[in-house]
Amino acid sequence: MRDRISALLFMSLGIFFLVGALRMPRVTEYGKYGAPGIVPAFFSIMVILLCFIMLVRKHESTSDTRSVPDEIRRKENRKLILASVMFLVYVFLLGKINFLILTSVFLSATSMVFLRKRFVLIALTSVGTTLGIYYLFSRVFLLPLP
Amino acid sequence: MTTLKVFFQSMGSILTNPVFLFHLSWSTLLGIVVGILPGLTATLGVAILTTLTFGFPPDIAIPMLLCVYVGAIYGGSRTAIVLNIPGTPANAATTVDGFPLARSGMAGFALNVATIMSGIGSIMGAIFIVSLAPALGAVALRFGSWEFALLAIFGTIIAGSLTAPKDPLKGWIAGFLGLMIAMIGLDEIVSFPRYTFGNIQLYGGISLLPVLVGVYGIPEILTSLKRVTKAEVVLDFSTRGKKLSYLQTIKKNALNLVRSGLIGVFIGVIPGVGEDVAAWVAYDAAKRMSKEPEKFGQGSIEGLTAAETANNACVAGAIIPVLTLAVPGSAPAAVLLAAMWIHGIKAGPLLSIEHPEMIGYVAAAFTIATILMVLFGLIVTRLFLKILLVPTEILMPIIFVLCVVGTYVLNGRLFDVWVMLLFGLLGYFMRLNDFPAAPFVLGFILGPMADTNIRRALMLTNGNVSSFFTRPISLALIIAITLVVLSKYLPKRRGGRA
Repeated sequence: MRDRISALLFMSLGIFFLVGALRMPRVTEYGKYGAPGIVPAFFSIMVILLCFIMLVRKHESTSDTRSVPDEIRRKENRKLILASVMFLVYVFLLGKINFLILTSVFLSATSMVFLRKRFVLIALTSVGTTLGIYYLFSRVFLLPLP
Repeated sequence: MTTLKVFFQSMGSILTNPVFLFHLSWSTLLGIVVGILPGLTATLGVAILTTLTFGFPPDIAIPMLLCVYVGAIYGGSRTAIVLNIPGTPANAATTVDGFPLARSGMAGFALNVATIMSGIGSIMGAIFIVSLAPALGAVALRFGSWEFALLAIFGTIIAGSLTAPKDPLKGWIAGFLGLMIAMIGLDEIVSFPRYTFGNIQLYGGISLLPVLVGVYGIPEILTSLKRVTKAEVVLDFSTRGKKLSYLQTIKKNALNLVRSGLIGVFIGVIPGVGEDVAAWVAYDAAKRMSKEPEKFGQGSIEGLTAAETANNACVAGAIIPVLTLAVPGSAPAAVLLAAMWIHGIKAGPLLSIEHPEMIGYVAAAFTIATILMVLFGLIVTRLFLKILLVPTEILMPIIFVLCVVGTYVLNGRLFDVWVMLLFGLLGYFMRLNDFPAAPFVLGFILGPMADTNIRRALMLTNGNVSSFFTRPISLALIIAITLVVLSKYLPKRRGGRA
């Protein structure tokens, strides 16, 4: 089932790229073979074709990685969603809040949420790491930080 | 001969430059740490360091990346031996005999043997970079648009086949997805904006680094953070057991060393296979040829030697096609290729013209990376194993911040960070469904090469595709592609009938 869902998803992406390729100019100053859509069309057709084979084949070759109990799976999913949300919020706030403050808070919060112990140590590690990253990028390598 | 001269000159210039040595030392240590930490791979290590080396000139950045690569593949053997957890996939074969050796009270001996054998494997690989790469480069200079176009497709397909052995179809889908997504941005022939939707940020295409970091880094971080049950780390460096001479061990395993080194290099040269396959093949060969095959799996020095020699020799092998054909031999080599492009070094057939000194320089840097790896391996890695005591929950958010910052500094725009997150999501979905990331990245790297050369070849022949079949190298590549595809399905069909 999971293979079919992936095949359908990637096939849709392939169709999207194929439609885009077909809407590109067919003739250029280098003739019709210099047209920008030729190669994207070829690659997207290959993706569609391979996904079609995956969709219609009988066997499901995906290894059963989901043989974990439901309770653990639910916990894993909760942690996954939590991590994703925290990452998104961090990236969203980048550039809006001072890098040193935002990163220190983000590192402390993420580590505390997932580890749930050693709060003082985590806070100190987070501030130290943030200062280290800041110093390394902006002072040693002279690169801009958000 | 010129390459050899450059090799020795480069060795001299790097070894006498304290700044270079400092940077190479910490890069090697970083590589070892990345290797030691289960979950973090050499690929991720090279990707993260690429973000750190923007401000560096290529003549220092490339050796640093090599140091991380070499260090990480080696570093994985530490946890493989001490904890029975391969630090990187390349060290999976090391666990088979390394851990039993450690359990029998020979952890220290096994760690040092692995260090020495990895060093010898790497040096063998460096010899092949100097000797084989220029010859392969000379052949590559005969390539025209037809060959380049097919080479890009061949590289992607073979990477797909080899990184998804259970289901090559998924590997090929991933590869063609990479090739397809590489089409975003202005095309290189008529500068037509493809799939940009008027977004000015997409006109230059999607940068390689956000894709790399996203596809490799984010899935790793998410997978580590979501894990509910974690193994407890107990470090034991007991030194009891019989004392064995290292020199005697090398002498006794001389043939095994040479065979495993050669297997490692040649498997490395094949695009997309990588160090893990090299280690297993060498391990299998050593077991077959051994006078004491029954000891394999019980703590055989021969088995440990084969695995560790081959995986490090494979690193050099994987670099050879990167330099000469712009086709990476392994996933970390794909990132290395990307990093070289980011640093303005266009690896591939034209490298010997644009940067004639590069092959010798890379071989020299590789040798120095090996020397540093052995030195650190023998002196400080036991101390570095303590890093395993740092909880994943603290480490992974830090790695995430490094991924974000590294991606941001590429162009100084948050757009790249969002692109990284998007590809991270895609990478996670792919990992969840057993689609390998290596062919995707390879396809993304080789996409522009395929695009330009397919169209150029068609323009040259006015649409006549027969040239693809009449040029010898081109025909050989077509046959190779066909064989790779057929070899994955014909035996299955026969098996199915039986």
